[in-house]
Amino acid sequence: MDELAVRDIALFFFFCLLDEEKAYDFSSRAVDEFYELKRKHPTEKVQILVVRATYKIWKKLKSKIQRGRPQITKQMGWTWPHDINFGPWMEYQKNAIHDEFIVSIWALFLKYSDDEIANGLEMTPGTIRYRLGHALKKLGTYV
Amino acid sequence: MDTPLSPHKKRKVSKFLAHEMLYDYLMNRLDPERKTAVELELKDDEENQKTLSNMKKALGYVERINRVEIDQELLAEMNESSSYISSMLKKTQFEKWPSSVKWSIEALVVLLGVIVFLVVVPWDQALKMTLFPKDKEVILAEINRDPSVGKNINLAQVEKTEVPQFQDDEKKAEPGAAPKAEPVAVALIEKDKKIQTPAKKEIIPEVAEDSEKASSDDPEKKALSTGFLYRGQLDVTNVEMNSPKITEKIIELGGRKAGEVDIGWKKSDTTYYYHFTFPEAKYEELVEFLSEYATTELTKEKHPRIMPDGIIRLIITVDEKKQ
Repeated sequence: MDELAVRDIALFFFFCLLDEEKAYDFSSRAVDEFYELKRKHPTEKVQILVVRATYKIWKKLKSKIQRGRPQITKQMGWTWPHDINFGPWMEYQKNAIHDEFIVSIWALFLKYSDDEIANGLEMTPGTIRYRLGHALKKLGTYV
Repeated sequence: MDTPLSPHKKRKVSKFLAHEMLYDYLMNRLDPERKTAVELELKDDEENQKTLSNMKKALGYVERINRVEIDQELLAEMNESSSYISSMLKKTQFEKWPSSVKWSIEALVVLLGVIVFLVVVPWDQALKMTLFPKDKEVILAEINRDPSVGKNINLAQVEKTEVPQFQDDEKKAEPGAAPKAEPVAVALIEKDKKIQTPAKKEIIPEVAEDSEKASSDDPEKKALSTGFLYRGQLDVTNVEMNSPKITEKIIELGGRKAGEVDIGWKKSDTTYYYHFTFPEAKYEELVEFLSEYATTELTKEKHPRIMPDGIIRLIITVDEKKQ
C-alpha cells in the first residue's frame, strides 16, 4: 500500500515539475512527510495523506520550480513510451493557474476522487470540481 | 421536460450554467433532468460544444500520457528517508521505543550539546571582552635590568615629573590612611592614552625591578637588585628660618621630591620632612652643606626599591633643636 503511495508521489512531482532531478528531490521529501502524517493519522486514507504530503512539499518548495523549462531525459528512472508527446502538457504547465494545475494531477493522473482531494486540501468537493473543470478546459486548448 | 419549478413547465439552463456544468456532464455526474437540460442547451451553443470537445480531447490526452512508469529502484530510493536522522529513526524503529527511554535519550543529547557548547566557547576571552574593555586594560610595565639602561636616564627627564614617584614613609604611617599597594618591582600603567600623562610615561624608567628578579641566584645580579635608602635626622636651631634654605639648596643641587609631599614639607611646628631623589655625585656636597646646620649622620639602609644608577633617595627629618 505504501509502495503505491510512493509511486503516486513520484508521479505527482514528475507531472508537476517535468524535471526528473527535482521530482526525485521533492518526492523524497514528500515520502518522509507522508510517513510522518501516516504516523500521526494511522487510520486516514492513503490518498488523503498523499494529497496532504504532496501539497505541503509543493507549497514549501514551489519557489524553486521553474515552469516552462522541462528537464526530462529518462535517465533518473522515469520511463514512458516513445509516442508520448508532452508538448501540450508542458504548455499547460507553463501557463496554468497553480491551484487548478495541481488538482488536475491528483484527479486525472492519480485518479483520486474529488472527495479525497477535497479532504486532503480541506476544501469542499465543489471547489475541486470547479478547479478541475477549468483545468480541463484550459488543457483542451493546448491539445 | 415538464417541471413544477419552471413557469413554462420546462427547466432550461442558461449558457453560463451549462458551461459550468460541462465537467460534471462529461463525468456523467448530473442527474437526468439536468443532463437533459445541458444537452438541450448544447444543441444551440457552438461555444459550449467546442469547450466540451476540448475537455474530451484533454481527457483523452491525459490518458495517453499517463503511461509513465517508475523504476522500482528509484521508488525504493525515494522510500528511504532523505535525511540521515529520519532514516536512522526509521531503521531503529524509534517510534516504538518506550517513551521513558526516548525522553532519556533526548535529554542526554541536549545535555551533550550544552557540555560541548560550554567546552568549545572560549569563556576567558569572552569575559575579558565583555567585562574588561580593551581601552581600560591595565598592563604591567617591565623594566630592563640592564645597568646601562639606568645610565642613559636623563636627569632632566625626571625634573619634568610632577607626579610623586614614591610613597612617603611618614604619610604611609598616618592613621586612617588607606593601605597602599607595595610599589616593589612593578608599576601599573594605564594603557589608555587619554589617561596616560606624559609625566607618567617618564616614571617608567625609574621604576624598580621586579622582586622576582631580585631573587635571582646570580650573586652579582643579587647585589644589583638590592636598593638603598639614605635616612637621617637633623636637629637644627631656628628650624623655621633654616628649613627653606635647606630646601632651596637641595633643589639647587638637583634634588627632586620623591614622595607625595614637597621637599621640606612642614610636618609639624618643629619638624620638616624631606623625601627626595638626589644625584649621587653631589651627595658629599649635600652632606657638607647640611653639616653647617647640624651634625649630619645619614645611614644607608637596604631597601627593595632600586634607583637608577647615579640617583639616590633620601629621607631626612629636620627637627627644632631642643635647648
